[in-house]
Amino acid sequence: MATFPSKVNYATGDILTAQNMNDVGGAINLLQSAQFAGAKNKIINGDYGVWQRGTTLATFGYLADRFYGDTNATVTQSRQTFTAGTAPVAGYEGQFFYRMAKSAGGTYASLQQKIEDVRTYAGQTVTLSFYAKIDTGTLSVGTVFEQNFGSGGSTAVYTYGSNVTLTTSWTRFTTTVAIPSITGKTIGTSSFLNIYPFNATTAAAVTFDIWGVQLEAASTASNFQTATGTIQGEIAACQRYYYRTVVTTGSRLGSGYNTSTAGGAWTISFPVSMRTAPSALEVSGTAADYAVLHGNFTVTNCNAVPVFVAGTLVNGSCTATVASGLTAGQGSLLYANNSNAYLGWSAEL
Amino acid sequence: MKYELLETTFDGIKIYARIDDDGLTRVTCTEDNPDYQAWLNPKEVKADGNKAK
Repeated sequence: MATFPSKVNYATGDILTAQNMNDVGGAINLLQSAQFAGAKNKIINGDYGVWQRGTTLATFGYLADRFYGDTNATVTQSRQTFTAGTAPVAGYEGQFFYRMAKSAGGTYASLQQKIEDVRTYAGQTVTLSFYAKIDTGTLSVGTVFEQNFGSGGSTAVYTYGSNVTLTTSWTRFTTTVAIPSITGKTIGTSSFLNIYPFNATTAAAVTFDIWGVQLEAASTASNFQTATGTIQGEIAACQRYYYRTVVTTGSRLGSGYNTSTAGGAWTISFPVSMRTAPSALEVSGTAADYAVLHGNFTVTNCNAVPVFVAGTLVNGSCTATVASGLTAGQGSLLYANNSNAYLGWSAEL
Repeated sequence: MKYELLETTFDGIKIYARIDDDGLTRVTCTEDNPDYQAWLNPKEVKADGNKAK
């Protein structure tokens, strides 16, 4: 445990003794428990400030960066905005929170974040904290810590925290567990520690709201802060796992060349190195959102959406086709016909 | 939602298309993609809901 600084206030002439250095009790202001200590929170985007994928999703999956909403019922996930002054933490004005509106039916609803590497917090005591509420009544939900040893690794180990009872008012919930040791386990590729702030077994229609998710190596919850403490840090941390281009009409999505008169290949650089080479490309689903800019500023619409070809840690490549009109071998740009166009590269766990 | 083999690249990598219920393709991926693998091999063990320590 960090024990420095061992003394908060110094006066001229004070002498820092060995006892000061070793004093871990009393009125010592440990960095670990201070509100602005860096990197104490392993949850990325815990304040729901980053939404690269958009602001609403009518199915299970990723919406808010790094968080996976899962259910077997009809569902709408969305970004909600706090009315100024109503965020649940005094002194920390959150802007957005996450909502999962589950319809009646199905059997479960959960929210998860996979923290890279199953070695994370292995053998340590951790505290998960978050602010949450539901739309009506009360609901008891579980909290889960899944040690997943990855492809080729040992069988996953589930550790269950205390159940928490959500109400219609924003409340901070905390649960403390001992994450099991990984001694004797086989760690495969892409292992992770999966955190479930809520894991509910329910067929009822219920709307979950959540903000301020934090996981720290401690036996009590300290004040919330994001994983990196900065806006740019949180975006970069998210983009290690997923990167989506933000475009307006006419934006150039990537540079490359025409491979034939009816198609081309383009490469897009990532703003940060990704966790692993991406294995998927997300697009809008509409071919006409995309075009090829070639020759003397000629725009030719695509007749199929861009397709994943390859990825590295720092760039991704895609192909697309047009009906005709390109000159094979010429340089060209993949072009956004409107603001619906995007390229999303995923290296999620 | 389903996945279909879309093409094989010049270097032999199989590219799959995820075809959503509305018929649109919004994702293309390799066979290593976790979401494709999860669709191919549904997870047998899930965390127990509402289970307390």
